[in-house]
Amino acid sequence: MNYSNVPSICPYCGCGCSFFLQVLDGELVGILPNKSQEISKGQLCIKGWHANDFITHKERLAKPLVRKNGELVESTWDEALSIIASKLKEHAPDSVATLSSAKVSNEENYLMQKFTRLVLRTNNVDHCARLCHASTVVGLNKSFGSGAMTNSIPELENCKCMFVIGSNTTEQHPMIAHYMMMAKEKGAKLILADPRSIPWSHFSDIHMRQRPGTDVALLNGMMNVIISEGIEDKKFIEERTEDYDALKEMVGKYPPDQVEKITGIPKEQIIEAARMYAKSEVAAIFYSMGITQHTTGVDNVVSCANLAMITGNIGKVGAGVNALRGQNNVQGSCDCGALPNVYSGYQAVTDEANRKKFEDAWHTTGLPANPGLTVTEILGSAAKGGIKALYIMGENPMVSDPDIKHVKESLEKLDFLAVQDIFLTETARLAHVVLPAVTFAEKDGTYTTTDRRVQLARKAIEPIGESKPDWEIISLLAKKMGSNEFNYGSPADIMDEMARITPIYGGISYDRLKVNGLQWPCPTKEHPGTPILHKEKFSRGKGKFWAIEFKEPAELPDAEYPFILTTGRTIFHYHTGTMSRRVDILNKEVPTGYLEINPADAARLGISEGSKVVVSTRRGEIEIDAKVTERVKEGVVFVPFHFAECAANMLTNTAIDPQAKIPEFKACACKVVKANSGSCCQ
Amino acid sequence: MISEIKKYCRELLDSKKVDAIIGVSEEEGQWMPFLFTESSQLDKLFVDKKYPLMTTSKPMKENILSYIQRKHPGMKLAIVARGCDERAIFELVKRGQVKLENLEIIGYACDRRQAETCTCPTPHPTKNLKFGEKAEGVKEHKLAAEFDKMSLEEKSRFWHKQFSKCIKCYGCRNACPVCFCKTCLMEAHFYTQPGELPVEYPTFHFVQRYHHAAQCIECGECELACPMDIPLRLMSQPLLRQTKELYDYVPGMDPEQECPLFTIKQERAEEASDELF
Repeated sequence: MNYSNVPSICPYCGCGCSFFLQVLDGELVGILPNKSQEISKGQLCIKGWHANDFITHKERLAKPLVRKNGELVESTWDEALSIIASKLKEHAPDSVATLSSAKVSNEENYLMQKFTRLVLRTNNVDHCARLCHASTVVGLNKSFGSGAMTNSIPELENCKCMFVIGSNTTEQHPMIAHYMMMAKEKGAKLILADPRSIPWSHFSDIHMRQRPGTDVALLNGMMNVIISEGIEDKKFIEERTEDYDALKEMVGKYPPDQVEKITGIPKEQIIEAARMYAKSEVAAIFYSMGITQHTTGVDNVVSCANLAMITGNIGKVGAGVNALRGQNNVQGSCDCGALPNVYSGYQAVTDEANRKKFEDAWHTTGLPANPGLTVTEILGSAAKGGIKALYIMGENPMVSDPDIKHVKESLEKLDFLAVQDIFLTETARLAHVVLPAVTFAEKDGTYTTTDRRVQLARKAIEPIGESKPDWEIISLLAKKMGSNEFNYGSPADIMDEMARITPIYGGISYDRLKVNGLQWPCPTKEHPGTPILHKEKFSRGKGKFWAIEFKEPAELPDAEYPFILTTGRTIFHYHTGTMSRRVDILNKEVPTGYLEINPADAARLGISEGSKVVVSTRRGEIEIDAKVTERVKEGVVFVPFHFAECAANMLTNTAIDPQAKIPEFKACACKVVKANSGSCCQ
Repeated sequence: MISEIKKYCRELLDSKKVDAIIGVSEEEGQWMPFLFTESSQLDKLFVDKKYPLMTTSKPMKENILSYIQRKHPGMKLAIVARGCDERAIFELVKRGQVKLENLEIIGYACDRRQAETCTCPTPHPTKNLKFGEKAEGVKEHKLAAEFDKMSLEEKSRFWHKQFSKCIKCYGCRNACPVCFCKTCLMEAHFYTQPGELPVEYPTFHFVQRYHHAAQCIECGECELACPMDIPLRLMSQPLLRQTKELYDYVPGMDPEQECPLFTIKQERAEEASDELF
């Protein structure tokens, strides 16, 4: 008779709610929220309450699979790893790439990039952060010197004014919305900029509904008002920032009436919002993928940073630029170096001193010096025969990446594809070898929240079937390929190695990680962690203004494709649905995808609630049920992207931001027609 | 008080009068339900902060006492219980979810400060008080005075705003120690359109309150679990007052006292479920 509550971290979003996995006689029997953790305080969203449901799902991969005569058949670990080892060795280093994962632990991300750089000898390692917040990593780094959320979740209840632009916080980060709602109840103002009507719309003081992709114009317009009315923070600008004059001159070109024409937002709203934000004692910006997933993603992020700096809203409690990261460990996977241009802790691979440091730590010489390819470039290169072998851990590009038809063609062109996952995902079905990995509940590991909080989740149950933790799998593969540098007794050892060569994680070790974790930068064993960034000075010294002009999205509506398609999520599912679509209660709430269309557009096209419609773009088409709703404005339609059978990403555009290489998921041109009765989805 | 409880529990375990004790443990700022099987573990026993022991372990829907009693039927158990824990056990006993045989309730009283924190009308066990002095309870919800002054229209606006915040986590139900139905009317599609936020007003929120008009033990866990701080007990209290006035019944006071509002046998609810969902 044994009963225990094992502290763990929710595997869904970047809030990082802690809960207990309840284990009775070795069997996982349920979830209890953790009342002692300051983020959750014993509260969870519907996904968190059911985070145990998929762990023991009957479809969990329990054995390695190897493709024989065109079919994936059960195999042994030895055979599967031998095939991967020999196939990865067959090709030149830069013809090989890996995709790491924002769903696995920090230790495992560190190992994946180490494996790629040390064993495969290429910097071709990236992961889905490219698809969500690559713009943040680049943009906030340009402005502040650190590409992460500036403030902390619990302090948000002290906000006096919240400017939410491109974040449906209530549905995407429910526990952050909890703290924001507390601030609202205490009298804080809420300014919302979102093309759609979302739960925040019911509580916002101002809701600006911009045309998708016009955020830079809106932000410049607000700065124009603030500067022309003299309500900028002159002292902060003078003492803490540089290159202000160029910004001031540029925003001069964006008077509110001009911005109204670009964005479709009445100028009175822009003026009121600018005043409300600038005159508040502390004001915070919250953004997410509505800002980042554009060809102007970095421009959008930098413009948010500009707005915060001209009003002095950096380095204070309840203020800041709060980039809300999506996946439970997308902050950590970036921190740990699963990016093609940096080692762990954002140390550039192009810097010789950094390379020397990692060569010494890994007992090697000649680590590759050129930045590798990004997710979007890896798939593009595979289509042209450049990348020949790809090893994917815990990612599902067949649902998550733009233009799925092209993704499929790229993956099928590969000479070799290995996928390591917990279920046979849409991507794993195309693989030559599939490795069964464990979920968060079957291993120890740390995960980093959107507020840079490194937290420890403990193993609660034994692995299902023959599945193994990702860190063990990578180590076994590295050994198979002849490396001696992957001898770890436990994930704690991996963290210790990473901490030694990663200044922002320098003080982090398992014995220091208590219920509320530690927030980086945490450079030494004595350091208490850093709840608020850029307090006395910016990470880069002075905050830098960048004068950014508005640019249109890559694809605009025209006569043939008259609608703007925008994509997003719902509270009831998560990303590609690999986990959430195996949870009964979530499927009962939302069984499949839908197209939101404005009643006026629907009437014109003869579409009614529940009608089957065909949505098409220059990339592909899907058949989907219509939801006729005022949530979208005329001319704009919305599709959630969780559902493979009517995948929003069959439609989306692969056009990317030139700096961050993030695709434009949030705006492309599409056509909507009523489906012929009897026709079926392709 | 804690040292006396620990001493008593130590004797129970050492003398093998019980096989295990359900209580709350605390370590490095983290507290959680814990099954004490060795007296050496009792250093971690914790009574300062509430962690309802009868909270169901899984949303659908069995609490840990019930699990253990079902899986290990002969086991002799004790539970270190506050007033609300005892009340939850009594209500579950009446509904066949847990048994009092082979179960010792080690009751302790909460102090006035704790009663105020929880707005608890009865901050002590009624049948098994062993440790601590009874403190005076708190009858009224912190918003009750303000709410009672509102006009009908203001009340309607108040609730409309509160329910607009709901993110449909079902936490109010999941955290409830006396909720155990395998099929739950909150999920019935004829009350609310599934998959929509804000949730349609107001049946989704009322159905659990009505169901618990003679079952709610006023532990406040529903409010504590609500990520949007909806004052759910403000809805329950008038119903509980009615139950008291009409039937002279207060849930959780006595395991022998039959609930006046048993309306449907559990087995029949199970049979009907397919048509409802």
